[in-house]
Amino acid sequence: MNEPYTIYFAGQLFDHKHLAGNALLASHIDGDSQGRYRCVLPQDLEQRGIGPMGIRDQDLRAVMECDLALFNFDGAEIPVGAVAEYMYAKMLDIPTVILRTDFRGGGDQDAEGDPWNLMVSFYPRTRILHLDGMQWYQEALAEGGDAAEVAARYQRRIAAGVIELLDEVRGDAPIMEGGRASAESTYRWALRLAAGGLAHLVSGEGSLDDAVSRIVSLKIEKGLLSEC
Amino acid sequence: MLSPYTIYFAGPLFDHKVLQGNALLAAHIEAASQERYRCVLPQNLEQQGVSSIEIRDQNLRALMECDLALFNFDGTELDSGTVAEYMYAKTLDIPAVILRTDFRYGGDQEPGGNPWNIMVSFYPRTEVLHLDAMLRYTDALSQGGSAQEVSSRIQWRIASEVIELLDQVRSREPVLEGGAAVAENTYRWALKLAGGSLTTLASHSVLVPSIIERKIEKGLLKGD
Repeated sequence: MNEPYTIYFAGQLFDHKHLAGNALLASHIDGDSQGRYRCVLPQDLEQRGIGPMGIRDQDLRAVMECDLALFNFDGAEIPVGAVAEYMYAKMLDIPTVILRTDFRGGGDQDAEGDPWNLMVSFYPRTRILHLDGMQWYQEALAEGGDAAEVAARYQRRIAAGVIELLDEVRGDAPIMEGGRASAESTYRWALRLAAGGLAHLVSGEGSLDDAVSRIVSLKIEKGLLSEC
Repeated sequence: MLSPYTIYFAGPLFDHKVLQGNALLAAHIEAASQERYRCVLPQNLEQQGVSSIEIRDQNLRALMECDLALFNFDGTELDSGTVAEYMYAKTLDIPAVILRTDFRYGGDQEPGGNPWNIMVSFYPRTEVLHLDAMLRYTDALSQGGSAQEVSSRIQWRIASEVIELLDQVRSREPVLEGGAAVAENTYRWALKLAGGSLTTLASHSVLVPSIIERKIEKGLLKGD
Protein backbone atom coordinates (compact mmCIF):
# COMPACT_ATOMS: atom_id res chain seq x y z
CA MET A 1 0.00 0.00 0.00
CA ASN A 2 1.17 3.52 -0.78
CA GLU A 3 2.17 5.86 2.02
CA PRO A 4 -0.79 7.99 3.12
CA TYR A 5 -0.94 11.64 2.18
CA THR A 6 -0.29 13.71 5.27
CA ILE A 7 -2.76 16.48 6.07
CA TYR A 8 -1.79 19.44 8.22
CA PHE A 9 -4.90 19.98 10.33
CA ALA A 10 -5.06 23.72 11.14
CA GLY A 11 -7.62 25.51 13.27
CA GLN A 12 -8.52 26.62 16.74
CA LEU A 13 -7.18 24.50 19.59
CA PHE A 14 -7.97 26.62 22.60
CA ASP A 15 -10.69 24.82 24.55
CA HIS A 16 -11.95 21.30 25.21
CA LYS A 17 -14.54 21.47 22.41
CA HIS A 18 -11.96 22.49 19.80
CA LEU A 19 -9.45 19.89 20.97
CA ALA A 20 -11.93 17.01 21.05
CA GLY A 21 -13.67 18.13 17.85
CA ASN A 22 -10.38 18.32 15.96
CA ALA A 23 -9.26 14.92 17.21
CA LEU A 24 -12.59 13.28 16.31
CA LEU A 25 -12.80 14.77 12.83
CA ALA A 26 -9.17 13.86 12.13
CA SER A 27 -9.74 10.26 13.22
CA HIS A 28 -12.74 9.99 10.90
CA ILE A 29 -10.76 11.42 8.00
CA ASP A 30 -7.97 8.92 8.69
CA GLY A 31 -10.36 6.00 9.11
CA ASP A 32 -12.93 6.75 6.43
CA SER A 33 -10.30 7.43 3.76
CA GLN A 34 -9.11 3.85 4.32
CA GLY A 35 -5.64 5.01 5.18
CA ARG A 36 -5.34 7.29 2.16
CA TYR A 37 -4.96 10.31 4.45
CA ARG A 38 -3.24 10.78 7.77
CA CYS A 39 -3.92 13.96 9.71
CA VAL A 40 -1.16 15.78 11.58
CA LEU A 41 -2.70 17.77 14.45
CA PRO A 42 -0.64 20.62 15.90
CA GLN A 43 -2.33 19.92 19.25
CA ASP A 44 -0.70 16.46 19.26
CA LEU A 45 2.79 17.87 18.78
CA GLU A 46 4.93 18.77 21.78
CA GLN A 47 3.54 21.78 23.65
CA ARG A 48 5.59 21.79 26.83
CA GLY A 49 9.01 23.23 27.52
CA ILE A 50 9.74 24.50 24.01
CA GLY A 51 8.46 28.07 24.34
CA PRO A 52 6.15 29.94 21.97
CA MET A 53 8.76 30.24 19.22
CA GLY A 54 9.50 26.53 19.47
CA ILE A 55 5.79 25.77 19.04
CA ARG A 56 5.53 28.13 16.07
CA ASP A 57 8.59 26.60 14.42
CA GLN A 58 7.34 23.08 15.03
CA ASP A 59 3.99 23.94 13.43
CA LEU A 60 5.56 25.67 10.42
CA ARG A 61 7.80 22.65 9.88
CA ALA A 62 4.75 20.39 9.98
CA VAL A 63 2.95 22.63 7.43
CA MET A 64 5.97 22.42 5.13
CA GLU A 65 6.40 18.67 5.46
CA CYS A 66 2.73 17.82 4.98
CA ASP A 67 1.37 16.90 1.56
CA LEU A 68 -1.91 18.78 1.90
CA ALA A 69 -3.59 20.96 4.50
CA LEU A 70 -7.03 21.36 6.01
CA PHE A 71 -7.93 24.76 7.44
CA ASN A 72 -10.83 25.08 9.85
CA PHE A 73 -12.11 28.60 9.23
CA ASP A 74 -14.77 28.79 11.93
CA GLY A 75 -15.69 31.80 14.06
CA ALA A 76 -17.22 35.20 13.38
CA GLU A 77 -13.58 36.24 12.87
CA ILE A 78 -11.54 33.32 11.59
CA PRO A 79 -8.55 32.27 13.75
CA VAL A 80 -5.50 34.25 12.76
CA GLY A 81 -3.08 31.46 13.58
CA ALA A 82 -4.77 29.37 10.92
CA VAL A 83 -4.68 32.35 8.53
CA ALA A 84 -0.92 32.71 9.01
CA GLU A 85 -0.50 28.98 8.35
CA TYR A 86 -2.76 29.18 5.31
CA MET A 87 -0.64 31.94 3.79
CA TYR A 88 2.49 29.93 4.55
CA ALA A 89 0.95 26.87 2.88
CA LYS A 90 0.03 28.87 -0.22
CA MET A 91 3.60 30.15 -0.43
CA LEU A 92 4.69 26.50 -0.49
CA ASP A 93 2.07 25.61 -3.13
CA ILE A 94 0.40 23.12 -0.80
CA PRO A 95 -3.05 21.94 -1.95
CA THR A 96 -5.58 22.95 0.66
CA VAL A 97 -9.15 22.44 1.76
CA ILE A 98 -10.92 25.10 3.82
CA LEU A 99 -13.70 23.82 6.07
CA ARG A 100 -16.28 26.18 7.52
CA THR A 101 -19.08 24.72 9.65
CA ASP A 102 -20.00 27.97 11.36
CA PHE A 103 -23.46 29.15 10.33
CA ARG A 104 -22.89 32.77 11.27
CA GLY A 105 -22.06 35.45 8.78
CA GLY A 106 -18.67 37.10 8.82
CA GLY A 107 -16.16 38.93 6.70
CA ASP A 108 -16.48 41.81 4.29
CA GLN A 109 -17.62 40.15 1.06
CA ASP A 110 -20.95 40.31 -0.70
CA ALA A 111 -23.73 37.79 -0.04
CA GLU A 112 -22.31 35.13 -2.36
CA GLY A 113 -18.75 35.58 -1.17
CA ASP A 114 -16.83 33.69 1.50
CA PRO A 115 -17.90 34.60 5.05
CA TRP A 116 -14.43 35.84 5.97
CA ASN A 117 -12.05 38.63 5.07
CA LEU A 118 -11.49 39.00 1.33
CA MET A 119 -7.72 39.08 1.77
CA VAL A 120 -7.90 35.38 2.63
CA SER A 121 -9.94 34.43 -0.46
CA PHE A 122 -9.29 33.54 -4.09
CA TYR A 123 -6.03 31.64 -3.66
CA PRO A 124 -5.62 28.83 -6.17
CA ARG A 125 -5.24 25.10 -5.45
CA THR A 126 -7.80 25.50 -2.67
CA ARG A 127 -11.28 23.96 -2.22
CA ILE A 128 -13.93 25.13 0.22
CA LEU A 129 -16.44 23.02 2.11
CA HIS A 130 -18.95 25.39 3.66
CA LEU A 131 -21.75 23.74 5.56
CA ASP A 132 -24.20 24.67 8.26
CA GLY A 133 -22.90 22.98 11.40
CA MET A 134 -26.18 23.38 13.25
CA GLN A 135 -28.31 21.95 10.47
CA TRP A 136 -26.04 18.93 10.03
CA TYR A 137 -26.05 18.40 13.79
CA GLN A 138 -29.86 18.46 13.91
CA GLU A 139 -30.02 15.98 11.05
CA ALA A 140 -27.62 13.64 12.84
CA LEU A 141 -29.62 14.07 16.05
CA ALA A 142 -32.88 13.18 14.32
CA GLU A 143 -31.55 9.73 13.50
CA GLY A 144 -31.41 8.94 17.23
CA GLY A 145 -28.84 7.32 19.52
CA ASP A 146 -26.72 8.67 22.32
CA ALA A 147 -24.43 11.71 22.12
CA ALA A 148 -21.43 9.61 21.03
CA GLU A 149 -23.42 8.02 18.21
CA VAL A 150 -24.76 11.38 17.06
CA ALA A 151 -21.27 12.87 17.15
CA ALA A 152 -19.83 9.96 15.17
CA ARG A 153 -22.54 10.24 12.52
CA TYR A 154 -22.00 13.95 12.31
CA GLN A 155 -18.22 13.71 12.05
CA ARG A 156 -18.40 10.91 9.49
CA ARG A 157 -20.55 13.04 7.22
CA ILE A 158 -18.19 16.02 7.50
CA ALA A 159 -15.17 13.77 6.99
CA ALA A 160 -16.73 12.37 3.79
CA GLY A 161 -17.12 15.89 2.42
CA VAL A 162 -13.55 16.78 3.36
CA ILE A 163 -12.13 13.58 1.83
CA GLU A 164 -13.94 14.24 -1.44
CA LEU A 165 -12.35 17.70 -1.66
CA LEU A 166 -8.93 16.44 -0.62
CA ASP A 167 -9.14 13.90 -3.47
CA GLU A 168 -10.13 16.69 -5.82
CA VAL A 169 -7.55 19.29 -4.83
CA ARG A 170 -4.61 16.94 -4.94
CA GLY A 171 -5.49 16.36 -8.58
CA ASP A 172 -4.83 20.04 -9.33
CA ALA A 173 -1.56 20.65 -11.13
CA PRO A 174 1.09 22.50 -9.11
CA ILE A 175 1.12 26.25 -9.68
CA MET A 176 4.81 26.60 -9.03
CA GLU A 177 6.86 26.31 -12.18
CA GLY A 178 10.55 25.80 -12.68
CA GLY A 179 10.74 22.24 -11.40
CA ARG A 180 12.79 20.93 -8.52
CA ALA A 181 15.29 23.80 -8.41
CA SER A 182 12.59 26.41 -8.12
CA ALA A 183 10.69 24.43 -5.47
CA GLU A 184 13.83 23.92 -3.39
CA SER A 185 14.70 27.59 -3.62
CA THR A 186 11.17 28.60 -2.54
CA TYR A 187 11.17 26.14 0.36
CA ARG A 188 14.57 27.37 1.53
CA TRP A 189 13.30 30.95 1.42
CA ALA A 190 10.20 29.97 3.41
CA LEU A 191 12.50 28.69 6.14
CA ARG A 192 14.65 31.81 6.13
CA LEU A 193 11.80 34.30 6.10
CA ALA A 194 10.32 32.79 9.27
CA ALA A 195 13.69 32.88 11.06
CA GLY A 196 13.57 31.70 14.70
CA GLY A 197 14.92 28.18 14.97
CA LEU A 198 12.97 26.85 12.02
CA ALA A 199 15.84 26.15 9.62
CA HIS A 200 17.75 24.32 12.34
CA LEU A 201 14.66 22.35 13.31
CA VAL A 202 14.23 21.18 9.74
CA SER A 203 17.89 20.43 9.05
CA GLY A 204 18.66 18.83 12.42
CA GLU A 205 22.34 17.93 12.50
CA GLY A 206 22.50 17.57 8.70
CA SER A 207 22.58 20.13 5.93
CA LEU A 208 19.62 22.35 5.23
CA ASP A 209 19.90 21.78 1.48
CA ASP A 210 19.64 18.01 1.98
CA ALA A 211 16.65 18.37 4.28
CA VAL A 212 14.81 20.63 1.84
CA SER A 213 15.70 18.35 -1.04
CA ARG A 214 14.19 15.39 0.84
CA ILE A 215 10.94 17.24 1.50
CA VAL A 216 10.65 18.38 -2.11
CA SER A 217 11.53 14.90 -3.44
CA LEU A 218 8.76 13.27 -1.43
CA LYS A 219 6.26 15.77 -2.83
CA ILE A 220 7.50 15.26 -6.38
CA GLU A 221 7.16 11.48 -5.97
CA LYS A 222 3.55 11.99 -4.93
CA GLY A 223 2.86 14.33 -7.86
CA LEU A 224 2.33 17.34 -5.60
CA LEU A 225 5.24 19.35 -7.04
CA SER A 226 6.75 19.19 -10.53
CA GLU A 227 10.13 17.61 -11.25
CA CYS A 228 10.86 19.90 -14.19
CA MET B 1 15.31 65.21 -2.32
CA LEU B 2 14.80 61.45 -2.45
CA SER B 3 11.30 60.24 -3.11
CA PRO B 4 9.58 59.30 0.15
CA TYR B 5 9.47 55.74 1.41
CA THR B 6 6.02 54.36 0.82
CA ILE B 7 4.31 52.65 3.74
CA TYR B 8 1.51 50.16 3.21
CA PHE B 9 -0.90 51.02 6.01
CA ALA B 10 -2.66 47.76 6.94
CA GLY B 11 -5.38 47.30 9.51
CA PRO B 12 -9.09 46.98 10.10
CA LEU B 13 -11.12 49.51 8.06
CA PHE B 14 -14.66 48.54 8.87
CA ASP B 15 -16.26 51.42 10.79
CA HIS B 16 -16.12 55.21 11.09
CA LYS B 17 -13.76 55.23 14.06
CA VAL B 18 -11.22 53.01 12.37
CA LEU B 19 -11.42 54.74 9.00
CA GLN B 20 -10.79 58.19 10.43
CA GLY B 21 -8.23 56.86 12.93
CA ASN B 22 -6.24 55.33 10.06
CA ALA B 23 -6.46 58.51 8.00
CA LEU B 24 -5.39 60.75 10.91
CA LEU B 25 -2.47 58.58 11.98
CA ALA B 26 -1.27 58.30 8.38
CA ALA B 27 -1.45 62.09 7.96
CA HIS B 28 0.55 62.58 11.16
CA ILE B 29 3.19 60.06 10.08
CA GLU B 30 3.64 61.94 6.83
CA ALA B 31 3.80 65.35 8.46
CA ALA B 32 5.92 64.38 11.46
CA SER B 33 8.43 62.61 9.22
CA GLN B 34 8.69 65.76 7.10
CA GLU B 35 7.44 63.64 4.23
CA ARG B 36 10.19 61.07 4.57
CA TYR B 37 7.31 58.61 4.61
CA ARG B 38 4.16 58.49 2.52
CA CYS B 39 1.36 56.19 3.64
CA VAL B 40 -0.69 54.14 1.19
CA LEU B 41 -4.07 53.41 2.75
CA PRO B 42 -6.10 50.55 1.28
CA GLN B 43 -9.25 52.46 2.30
CA ASN B 44 -8.21 55.24 -0.12
CA LEU B 45 -7.86 52.88 -3.06
CA GLU B 46 -10.82 52.28 -5.32
CA GLN B 47 -13.68 50.53 -3.50
CA GLN B 48 -16.72 51.47 -5.61
CA GLY B 49 -17.89 49.04 -8.27
CA VAL B 50 -14.89 46.85 -7.64
CA SER B 51 -15.38 43.16 -6.83
CA SER B 52 -13.90 41.44 -3.78
CA ILE B 53 -11.17 39.77 -5.79
CA GLU B 54 -10.26 43.05 -7.45
CA ILE B 55 -9.98 44.74 -4.06
CA ARG B 56 -7.77 41.91 -2.81
CA ASP B 57 -5.55 42.07 -5.89
CA GLN B 58 -5.32 45.84 -5.68
CA ASN B 59 -4.26 45.62 -2.03
CA LEU B 60 -1.70 42.86 -2.61
CA ARG B 61 -0.20 44.78 -5.50
CA ALA B 62 -0.01 47.96 -3.42
CA LEU B 63 1.66 46.02 -0.63
CA MET B 64 4.22 44.56 -3.02
CA GLU B 65 5.02 47.98 -4.44
CA CYS B 66 5.44 49.65 -1.06
CA ASP B 67 8.84 50.04 0.55
CA LEU B 68 7.75 49.27 4.09
CA ALA B 69 4.53 48.33 5.86
CA LEU B 70 2.73 49.27 9.05
CA PHE B 71 0.38 46.67 10.52
CA ASN B 72 -2.26 47.72 13.01
CA PHE B 73 -2.67 44.69 15.28
CA ASP B 74 -5.57 45.82 17.45
CA GLY B 75 -8.47 43.76 18.80
CA THR B 76 -8.66 40.76 21.14
CA GLU B 77 -8.46 38.68 17.98
CA LEU B 78 -6.42 40.30 15.20
CA ASP B 79 -8.04 41.20 11.90
CA SER B 80 -7.49 38.23 9.59
CA GLY B 81 -7.04 40.42 6.50
CA THR B 82 -4.19 42.26 8.18
CA VAL B 83 -2.56 38.98 9.17
CA ALA B 84 -2.80 37.68 5.59
CA GLU B 85 -1.12 40.89 4.40
CA TYR B 86 1.56 40.61 7.07
CA MET B 87 2.44 37.08 5.91
CA TYR B 88 2.49 38.28 2.31
CA ALA B 89 4.83 41.14 3.29
CA LYS B 90 7.19 38.75 5.01
CA THR B 91 7.21 36.56 1.89
CA LEU B 92 8.41 39.67 0.05
CA ASP B 93 10.97 40.59 2.75
CA ILE B 94 9.28 43.92 3.36
CA PRO B 95 10.45 45.67 6.55
CA ALA B 96 7.47 45.97 8.85
CA VAL B 97 6.32 47.77 11.97
CA ILE B 98 3.51 46.28 14.02
CA LEU B 99 1.49 48.78 16.04
CA ARG B 100 -0.75 47.64 18.87
CA THR B 101 -2.57 50.29 20.88
CA ASP B 102 -5.19 47.96 22.34
CA PHE B 103 -4.79 47.56 26.10
CA ARG B 104 -6.65 44.26 26.25
CA TYR B 105 -4.88 40.95 26.42
CA GLY B 106 -5.22 38.46 23.59
CA GLY B 107 -3.48 35.54 21.99
CA ASP B 108 -1.96 32.38 23.37
CA GLN B 109 1.47 33.47 24.56
CA GLU B 110 2.85 33.63 28.06
CA PRO B 111 2.95 36.97 29.94
CA GLY B 112 5.61 39.14 28.31
CA GLY B 113 4.92 37.65 24.89
CA ASN B 114 3.00 39.36 22.11
CA PRO B 115 -0.73 39.61 22.89
CA TRP B 116 -1.65 37.71 19.74
CA ASN B 117 -1.33 34.26 18.25
CA ILE B 118 2.15 32.73 18.25
CA MET B 119 1.93 31.91 14.56
CA VAL B 120 2.13 35.63 13.80
CA SER B 121 5.19 36.26 15.97
CA PHE B 122 8.99 36.04 15.66
CA TYR B 123 9.32 37.05 12.00
CA PRO B 124 12.48 38.99 11.21
CA ARG B 125 12.82 42.55 9.93
CA THR B 126 9.82 43.49 12.07
CA GLU B 127 9.58 45.97 14.95
CA VAL B 128 6.71 46.03 17.42
CA LEU B 129 5.29 49.17 19.05
CA HIS B 130 2.94 48.15 21.83
CA LEU B 131 1.35 50.93 23.82
CA ASP B 132 -1.71 51.50 25.97
CA ALA B 133 -4.07 53.71 24.01
CA MET B 134 -6.23 54.51 27.03
CA LEU B 135 -3.26 55.83 28.99
CA ARG B 136 -2.18 57.93 26.03
CA TYR B 137 -5.69 59.25 25.63
CA THR B 138 -6.07 60.26 29.28
CA ASP B 139 -2.64 61.93 29.19
CA ALA B 140 -3.63 63.88 26.09
CA LEU B 141 -7.01 64.73 27.59
CA SER B 142 -5.48 66.11 30.79
CA GLN B 143 -3.63 68.73 28.77
CA GLY B 144 -6.98 70.22 27.77
CA GLY B 145 -8.35 71.54 24.50
CA SER B 146 -11.01 70.44 22.06
CA ALA B 147 -11.57 66.86 20.90
CA GLN B 148 -9.59 67.68 17.75
CA GLU B 149 -6.66 68.97 19.77
CA VAL B 150 -6.68 65.95 22.08
CA SER B 151 -6.89 63.61 19.12
CA SER B 152 -4.10 65.39 17.33
CA ARG B 153 -1.89 65.21 20.42
CA ILE B 154 -2.36 61.43 20.66
CA GLN B 155 -1.74 60.92 16.96
CA TRP B 156 1.44 63.05 17.00
CA ARG B 157 2.87 61.02 19.81
CA ILE B 158 2.03 57.67 18.24
CA ALA B 159 3.24 58.85 14.83
CA SER B 160 6.60 59.93 16.20
CA GLU B 161 7.16 56.51 17.79
CA VAL B 162 6.06 54.73 14.60
CA ILE B 163 8.51 56.87 12.62
CA GLU B 164 11.33 55.96 14.97
CA LEU B 165 10.67 52.26 14.37
CA LEU B 166 10.25 52.75 10.62
CA ASP B 167 13.67 54.42 10.61
CA GLN B 168 15.08 51.50 12.57
CA VAL B 169 13.55 48.69 10.58
CA ARG B 170 14.45 50.05 7.18
CA SER B 171 18.10 50.01 8.15
CA ARG B 172 17.93 46.28 8.84
CA GLU B 173 19.72 44.08 6.33
CA PRO B 174 17.46 42.27 3.88
CA VAL B 175 16.87 38.63 4.78
CA LEU B 176 16.45 37.65 1.14
CA GLU B 177 19.80 36.83 -0.44
CA GLY B 178 20.92 36.12 -3.99
CA GLY B 179 20.57 39.58 -5.51
CA ALA B 180 18.13 40.97 -8.03
CA ALA B 181 17.50 37.68 -9.84
CA VAL B 182 16.39 35.84 -6.70
CA ALA B 183 14.30 38.81 -5.58
CA GLU B 184 12.65 38.93 -8.97
CA ASN B 185 11.80 35.20 -8.84
CA THR B 186 10.44 35.56 -5.32
CA TYR B 187 8.23 38.51 -6.28
CA ARG B 188 6.97 36.77 -9.41
CA TRP B 189 6.10 33.69 -7.37
CA ALA B 190 4.25 35.85 -4.82
CA LEU B 191 2.09 37.19 -7.64
CA LYS B 192 1.47 33.78 -9.09
CA LEU B 193 0.61 32.05 -5.83
CA ALA B 194 -2.16 34.56 -5.17
CA GLY B 195 -4.01 33.76 -8.38
CA GLY B 196 -6.63 36.20 -9.69
CA SER B 197 -5.35 39.00 -11.90
CA LEU B 198 -1.98 38.83 -10.15
CA THR B 199 -1.16 35.64 -12.07
CA THR B 200 -1.02 37.67 -15.28
CA LEU B 201 1.16 40.31 -13.66
CA ALA B 202 3.67 37.62 -12.68
CA SER B 203 4.80 37.33 -16.27
CA HIS B 204 4.70 41.08 -16.95
CA SER B 205 8.10 42.07 -18.30
CA VAL B 206 8.40 45.44 -16.57
CA LEU B 207 6.39 45.47 -13.34
CA VAL B 208 8.48 43.20 -11.11
CA PRO B 209 11.92 44.30 -12.38
CA SER B 210 11.00 47.94 -11.83
CA ILE B 211 9.80 47.27 -8.27
CA ILE B 212 12.97 45.34 -7.48
CA GLU B 213 15.21 47.98 -9.03
CA ARG B 214 13.58 50.72 -6.97
CA LYS B 215 13.87 48.74 -3.74
CA ILE B 216 17.53 47.96 -4.42
CA GLU B 217 18.20 51.65 -5.06
CA LYS B 218 16.66 52.45 -1.68
CA GLY B 219 18.73 49.73 0.02
CA LEU B 220 15.65 47.66 0.87
CA LEU B 221 16.70 44.63 -1.18
CA LYS B 222 20.17 43.40 -2.03
CA GLY B 223 21.61 44.03 -5.47
CA ASP B 224 23.94 41.59 -7.17
